[in-house]
Amino acid sequence: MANPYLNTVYWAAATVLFIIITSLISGASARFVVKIRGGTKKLQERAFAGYLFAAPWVVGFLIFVLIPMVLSLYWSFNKVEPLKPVIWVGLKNYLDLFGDSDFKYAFLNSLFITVIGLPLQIGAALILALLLSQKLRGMRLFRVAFYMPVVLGLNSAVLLCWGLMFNANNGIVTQIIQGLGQIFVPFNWLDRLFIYINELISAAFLGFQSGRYKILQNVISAGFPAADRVPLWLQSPLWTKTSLIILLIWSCGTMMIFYLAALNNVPQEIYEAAEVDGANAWQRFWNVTWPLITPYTFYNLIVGMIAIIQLFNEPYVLFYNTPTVAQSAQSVVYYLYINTFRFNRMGYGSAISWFLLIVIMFITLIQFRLQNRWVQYDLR
Amino acid sequence: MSALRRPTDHGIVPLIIRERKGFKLFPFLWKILLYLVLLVGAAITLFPLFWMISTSFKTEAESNASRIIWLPHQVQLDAYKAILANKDFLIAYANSIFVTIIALLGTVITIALVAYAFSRIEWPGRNLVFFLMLSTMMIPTQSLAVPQYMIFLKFKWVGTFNPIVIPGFFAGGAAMIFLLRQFMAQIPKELDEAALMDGATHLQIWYYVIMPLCRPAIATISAILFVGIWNSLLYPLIFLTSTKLYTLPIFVTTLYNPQMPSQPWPTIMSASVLTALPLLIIFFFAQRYLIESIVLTGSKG
Amino acid sequence: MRTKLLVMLVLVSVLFSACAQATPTAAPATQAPAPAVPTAAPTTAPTTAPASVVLNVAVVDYVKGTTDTWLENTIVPAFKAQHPEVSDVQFTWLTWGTYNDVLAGYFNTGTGPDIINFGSEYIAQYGSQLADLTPYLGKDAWPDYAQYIPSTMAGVTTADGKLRGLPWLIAPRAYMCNMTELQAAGLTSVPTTYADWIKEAKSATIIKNNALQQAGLVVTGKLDDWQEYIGLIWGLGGQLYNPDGTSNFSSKESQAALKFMYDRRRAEYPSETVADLPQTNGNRLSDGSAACVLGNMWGFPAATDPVWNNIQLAPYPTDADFPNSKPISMVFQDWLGIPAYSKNVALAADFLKMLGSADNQFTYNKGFGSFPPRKDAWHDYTDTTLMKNIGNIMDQYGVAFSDVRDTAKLVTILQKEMPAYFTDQEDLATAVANIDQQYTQALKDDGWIK
Repeated sequence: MANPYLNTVYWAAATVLFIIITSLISGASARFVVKIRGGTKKLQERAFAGYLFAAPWVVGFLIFVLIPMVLSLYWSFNKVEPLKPVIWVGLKNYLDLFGDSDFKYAFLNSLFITVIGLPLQIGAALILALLLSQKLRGMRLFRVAFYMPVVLGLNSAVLLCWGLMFNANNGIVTQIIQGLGQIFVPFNWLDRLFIYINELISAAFLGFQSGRYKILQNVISAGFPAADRVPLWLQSPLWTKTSLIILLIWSCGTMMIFYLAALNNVPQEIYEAAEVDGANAWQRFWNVTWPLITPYTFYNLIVGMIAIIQLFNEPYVLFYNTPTVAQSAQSVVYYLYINTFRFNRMGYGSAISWFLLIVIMFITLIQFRLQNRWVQYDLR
Repeated sequence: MSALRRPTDHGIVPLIIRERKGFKLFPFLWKILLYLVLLVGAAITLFPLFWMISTSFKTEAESNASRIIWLPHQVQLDAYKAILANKDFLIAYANSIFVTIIALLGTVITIALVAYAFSRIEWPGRNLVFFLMLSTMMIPTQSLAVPQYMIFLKFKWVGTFNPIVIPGFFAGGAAMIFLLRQFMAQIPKELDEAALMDGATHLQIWYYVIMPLCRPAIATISAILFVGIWNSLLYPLIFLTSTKLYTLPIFVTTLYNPQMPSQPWPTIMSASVLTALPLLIIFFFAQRYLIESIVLTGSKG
Repeated sequence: MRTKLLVMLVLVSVLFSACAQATPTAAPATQAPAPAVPTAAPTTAPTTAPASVVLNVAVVDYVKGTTDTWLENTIVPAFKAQHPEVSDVQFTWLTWGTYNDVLAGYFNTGTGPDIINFGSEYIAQYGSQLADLTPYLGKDAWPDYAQYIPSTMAGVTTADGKLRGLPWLIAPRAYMCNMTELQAAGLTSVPTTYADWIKEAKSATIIKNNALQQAGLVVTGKLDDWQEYIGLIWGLGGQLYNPDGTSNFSSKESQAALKFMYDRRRAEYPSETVADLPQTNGNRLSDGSAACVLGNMWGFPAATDPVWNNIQLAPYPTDADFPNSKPISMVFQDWLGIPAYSKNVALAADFLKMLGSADNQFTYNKGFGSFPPRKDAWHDYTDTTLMKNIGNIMDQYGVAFSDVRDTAKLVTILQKEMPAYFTDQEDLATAVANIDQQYTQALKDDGWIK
C-alpha cells in the first residue's frame, strides 16, 4: 500500500479541483438558464454567484446522499454481497426484517431505553438547569462542568474508563456504593431498593421481549435484595440497559444548556404577578415555568429519541468484549453494523437502513409539526 | 433571534425560590444547600475523568485492587512510557490528527462558502435548495453507511482515509451550514452592497468582508466538527479496514485484550488520557462557543 | 484572542502530523515478479529486483513481549537476508474480539495482509478465498511436508484436495485444576463426568458479599463459552450437522450438553445476581481465584514453573446416559494462509517455509505455550511433566476443532441463544430450536446447503 496520507492528500486536492470545476459549471449553467428565460443581467449574475457558492453542497448531496439513498432502496430488494453479483429477491429482505426476532429485540432495547432513560435524562437536565439558573456566583463553572461529558462522553477512551469503573466485583462504583452503605445505613436501603426496582423492571421487560417470564419469577422469588447485593452493571442482562441509561444521564449537558436558554426566555413579570397572587415555589414552577418550557421539552424528547435509536459508541465499547451480554444492550444501529459489516448482508442492511430512515423521519416530522405550533407563541 | 442571547449576559430569573423580605436565614441556607448539591453533582460528573487520570498513574495491581485506591501510592510513569513506546499508538495518533485536520479544513471552508450563498446572495431557487438542505438533517448518517460502503468499495476507497475525509469537503453537515447562515444573515446587507458597487467580486466579499466578521461562528463550528470527527467510531470502524489506518477511538479499544487473564489498565488509561487531551484543550478554549451553539441549533426552524 | 489560540493549536497539530507522516510511510508495494515455476529452494527468488517489496502479516496468536518480538527481531532480518528484494515485513497484531470484522474487511476490499493467521475452524469459511499452496508447500514441492503430523497439514489446512495453509500451532484444551483448592473443597481428583463437575462447581466455589471470591471453574465468559459447548456435544458422541447439512443442535446430545452447562452455571452462581470474579493480576490457577480452569497454556506460567506440580489435567467430561460418550480434548490447530488477492504469493509462501522449519516451529510454540505441528520439533517438549501430560491427553483424546461451518454466524447465534437460556429468558427447547432455525437459514444463505 502506498503512503495512505499522501494518497488522501492527492484525493483531497483532486476533490478541491472537482468542486471548483463543478461549481463553475453549475454557476454557468444557472446563468445560461436565466438568460434564456430572459432574466436581467443582474439576475444572471446573482444566479451565477448563488449556484457557484452553493454547488459544493448540491454536488455533495447528489453524490453522497441522493445516489446512495436511491441505490440502497434498490439494493434493499436484492441479495447484495461485496464483490458478488446482485440477485433480485423482491420483498424478502423486508419480510425477513419483520420476522427477525433479533431485530425486534434490538428495537425493543431502544424502546426500553427511550421509555425509562429519556425521562430520567430530561429530568436531570431540567433539574440542573433550574439549579444553575439561580443568580449566584460560580454558576458558569458548574455549567462548564456539567457540559463536559457531552464533549468527552462519546469517545471510546472515556467509555473504556466507564468499563473499568463499572466492574461489578471490584470496580470503583461498586466499592463506593458498598462503602457508603456501611457508613450510612439508609444509603444501603436506598441501594437495595434501587437494585430491586431496577431488576423488577428489567426482568419484566426481558420477559416481554422473549415471551418467557421465568426471569421475572426468579427476581420475585429472590425477594428484597440482601444487604450485600451490588449492581451488576455490565455483567447481567438485567443491568446492561441501566448502565447505558446512566451514561445518558451523565451526558445530559446539551439538554441542560438548552433548558437554560429556555428559562432565560421566561419573562420576569409573570413570576412577580404569580408571587403577588401568593403562589409558592412549586406552584410557580408548575403553573408558570413548566408550561412555558414545554416546547423545549418536546424538542429534547424528539432529539433524545433519535439519539437513542442511533446509540452506537456506548454499546460497542462497553460490550464488544463480552458478546454474551451484548445482545441485551444492542441498539438498532449496532444491529445494523453487525449484520452488514460482519456478515456482509448488504441487501438486508439496506432494508434496515430504510426502516431506520423512515422511523427517524417520522419522529422528526412530528417534531416539525410540534415546533410550528409553539413557534407562534414564542415570548419575544 | 431571541435565543441568541447568552444566558450569562442577562440576569437569570430565579425560578423557584425568591428572596423573601425580612427573613434572611432561609436564603442563606438555601444557598449552602444549592452549592452542596451542585458540588456533589459536579464531582460525580467529573469523576470518570479523575479516575482515568488517576488510574493512568497507578501500578497494575493498584488499578485492579479489591479496595479503593483514590490516588496512586507513588506516581508511576511506566504506563505512559509503555504507550508512547507503542508504535501503533503513535501511528493512530498521527492518523487521528491527520484525518481531523484535513476533514476540518475542507468542511469548514466549503460550509462557509455555502452559508454565504444561502445568506448573502439572492438567487432563483434558493429557498427550494435551502429547504432541501434543511430536510437532509432528518437523514440519519448511519442509514447511509451501507450504500456508501458499497460505493466506496467500487472506488477502491475502503481501506483508505478518503471515505472519512472527502465527503466533508462537500459542505458536510447541514446543521453547521444552518448555524453559520443564521450568523451571516445578521451582518448588515449594506456592507457587501457597498463592496459590490466598488467592483468587488463575491469571492472577494466572502473572503475580505464576511469571513472576518464570522470568526466566532467559524470557531464554534470548527470546535463542534473537531469533537465530532475526533470521537467518531462507526465510520472509521467500517472504512479503515487496515490496523495501520486505525484512528485513536478504534485503537484504544484494541488495547483491551479479552484473551489475556489480566488487563493492563494503567496503559489503557494512559492511552485514554492522551486521546482525550485534545478534546480537553478544545473544550477549555471553546466551551463558551460550544455551549452557545446548542442554543443556536436548538432554536432552529 | 481565543480564536488566535485555536489557530495556533491547529497549526501546531498540522506540524505534528506532518512530522508523524514520515514514520509509518511504507514504500509502495510493487508486484514481486513471482517465479513461474515455484521451487523449494528459497534462493531462487529473483535477486535483481530492488528492495521494494513489503510483506504484510496479520497475527492473532501471539504473546506480547515474547513471540511478537521474536518474529520482528529474529525472523524478519533472517528473511530479509534471504530475500534482498524485500524491504520490510510488517506485522499487524489482531485480537479475537474484532477478528471476524477485520477479516471481513480484508476479503471485501482485497487489500489486506499477504499472510493471515487463521483460527482452527476457519478453513471452511475462507478456504476458497485463499491461494492454493500445493505448488509451494505441497507434498511434492516441500520436503518438510512429510514431517508434519497428518491431522494438521493433510487435515485441517487441506480442503477440496488443495493445501490452503501452513499449520502453526497445536493447542489442546484441557480442564486444569489446582489440587490444593480441590482438596479444600473435599474433592480428590479432577472431575470427569457431568455429575462430578456440577458437584465440583458447587463445592469449590466461594461466594462473599454476593460476589465470587473463588470460582469452581473458569471458562472464557461466564461459563457460557460456545467452543466448550461444541466440545461437549462431540464428547457425548453428537454431531453438529444432519446428513443433509442442516443444523443439528436439537439433537439429544446437544440438548444434554447445554442442560449440563446450565446446571453447572447454577451450581457456581446460585443466582444470576452473583457478581463475577474480578480481573486477575496474575493467572487464575495460582492466585487462588479459581479451582479449575478450562484453557490452553496461553497466558499461563511457563511449563517449568513449580506451580504446575500442583495442577492436574482432565479431558472433556462424559455422561453415563450416552453410550457413545467418550472423553475428548479439543485441539485447536491454528494456521497461516495466503489470501488469493495477495500479489506476493510466492514470496509469502517462502516466508511460511521459513516459519515452518523445525527450529522456528519449536521456538514459536515454546514461546506461545502450544505444540509444534511437526513431530521433529517436539524435542525438549516432553521434558516437563506438564507438557508430557498435555501431550498424553492430546494423543489419547484429541479431536481437532475444525469443520465448523459458517463460523462467524454460528458464533453470533450461539452467543445470543446460550446466554438467553442461561439467564432464563428462554427454555432449553426454545433455545436449541432457535439455534437450529437460524443456523440452518444461515447455512442456506451462504451456500453451504444447496
